[in-house]
Amino acid sequence: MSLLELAGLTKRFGGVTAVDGLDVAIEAGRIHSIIGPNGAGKTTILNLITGVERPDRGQVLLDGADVTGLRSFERARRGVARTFQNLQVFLNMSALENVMAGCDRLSPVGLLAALARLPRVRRANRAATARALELIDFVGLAEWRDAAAAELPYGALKRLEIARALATGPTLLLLDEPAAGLNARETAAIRDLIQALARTGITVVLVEHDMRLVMGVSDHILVVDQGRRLMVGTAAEVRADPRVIQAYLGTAGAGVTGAA
Amino acid sequence: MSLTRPHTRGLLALGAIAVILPLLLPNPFYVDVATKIWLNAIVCVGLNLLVGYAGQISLGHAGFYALGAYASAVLTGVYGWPGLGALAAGAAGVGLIAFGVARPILKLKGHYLAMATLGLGIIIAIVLNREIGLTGGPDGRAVPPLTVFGVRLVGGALWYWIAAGAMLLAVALALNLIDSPPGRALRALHGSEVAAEAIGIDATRAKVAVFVLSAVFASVAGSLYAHADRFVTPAEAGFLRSVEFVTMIVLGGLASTYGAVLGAALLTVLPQLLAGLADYEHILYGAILMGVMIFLPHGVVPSLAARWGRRQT
Repeated sequence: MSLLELAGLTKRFGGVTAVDGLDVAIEAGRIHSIIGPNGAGKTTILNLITGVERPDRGQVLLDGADVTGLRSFERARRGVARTFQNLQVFLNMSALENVMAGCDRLSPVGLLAALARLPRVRRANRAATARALELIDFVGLAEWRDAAAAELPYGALKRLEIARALATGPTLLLLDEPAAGLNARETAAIRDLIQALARTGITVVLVEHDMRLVMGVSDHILVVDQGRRLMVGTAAEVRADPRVIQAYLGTAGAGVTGAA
Repeated sequence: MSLTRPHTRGLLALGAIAVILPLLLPNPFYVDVATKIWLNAIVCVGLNLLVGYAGQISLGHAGFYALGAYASAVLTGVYGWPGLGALAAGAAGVGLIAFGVARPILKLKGHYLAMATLGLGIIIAIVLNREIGLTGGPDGRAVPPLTVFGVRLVGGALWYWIAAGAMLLAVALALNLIDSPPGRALRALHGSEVAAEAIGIDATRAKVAVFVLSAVFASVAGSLYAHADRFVTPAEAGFLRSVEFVTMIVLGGLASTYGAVLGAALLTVLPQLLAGLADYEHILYGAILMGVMIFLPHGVVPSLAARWGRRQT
């Protein structure tokens, strides 16, 4: 059984069909990428998987269970985590607290218990702090851990979102353009990070425009064009497929493949 | 890590201020003003959880405050309930009302949420004005003294201590909440609602919970006020009173519990200090508010804390 399955998924915005009858199965324990030209529907696919958007038709299955009707936070509690293309960091909190907020899912505490500061609240705080510190080290933000999130540079915020997503203990991690706006050195560091977290057994779905990154890390690549599945294959297969070159890589493809 | 530091030190400092303050006050009139500071502070500390931490607005909290006050006034005065029972029943009733309206209201954002809560406050004010049989209408009604285990709690000095104790309890509860998983969830949904949901936070539920909690804080403060002042009027439910509460927390500093207390203190004292200036009172009042917000744009406590922090480093 696939970890994630999209069955006949369709989403329209007014007259535009952003995702059009998409069928995809994603197996556990690999790095999967979704690529496609701008406006191909990549971010919409992530929003449909996480429940930020509801499909007009079709289903989202997690471990074989239909989660199409579940809200975003319910899917998060079933192990779906994500980062955002346009950063959604909690800028009113410190870097550490951002990650702690993610950890809190693992030790839920009620409002009344929190008001009374019962012992289990202290335990939850201690556990969240310890785990958040580990994750902040893991993504390489140790020097920023006490800083207000608003003070972090752009590249650090991208990593902070990854740490916060990891904090929820996901089985499936969706990364929406983690390398956008990063320089070559930062992108290489993100690549290492993605590979490191995939080794921990988390299934990664990567939406990314940086072809060198995508071709370098992906076990499977889904190519979408105008909301439809163009093909699924390995990096080599995708690179060699004339439909992809025609629909997506085009003239720019020569330079990208040459660079890779 | 300011959040994980135990907050006993701040509470002790606030408690010390509450103990020393009456020694500095020249006469009972000022003790009554100080009592009002602490009662307003309870409302502000609760409202700040909703507005400052969770990022939702309410222009109707005076309605909850007045409902608590009238619940105590009517249940003890008309039906002969024991005072603490009336206070608890008022808090429970206000909590239920807040819970009932929270779901539809908190779906709204920004200006629309402000309008909806404003409407709620106005409805409560109208009901209190019109239900003359129970509330006494616009003239208000007298409130019997609070009696606990046969002891009648009367006198300005005693009520100062009751109000101060309740305020310290409210501050302690708020500090506890903020430094906890549900507290972080509130701040998270202020930062980004979509990201809060993405890490498993039920945003709707969190908003409803903090709205109800802040309404209950207001209701309890209202009940205490009714017994302290021994008289209630519908003006306590009015729009101006709601705006005053919001102004207090903005002035003191949103997302700062001590800021909420300080804001309550400043705006409770200021009209008394300016009362001698007759016609110029309101001009000066407005000018002071504008001055504070221009020079300390994040409110008094956060702005001063930031400056102090910079000087330290």
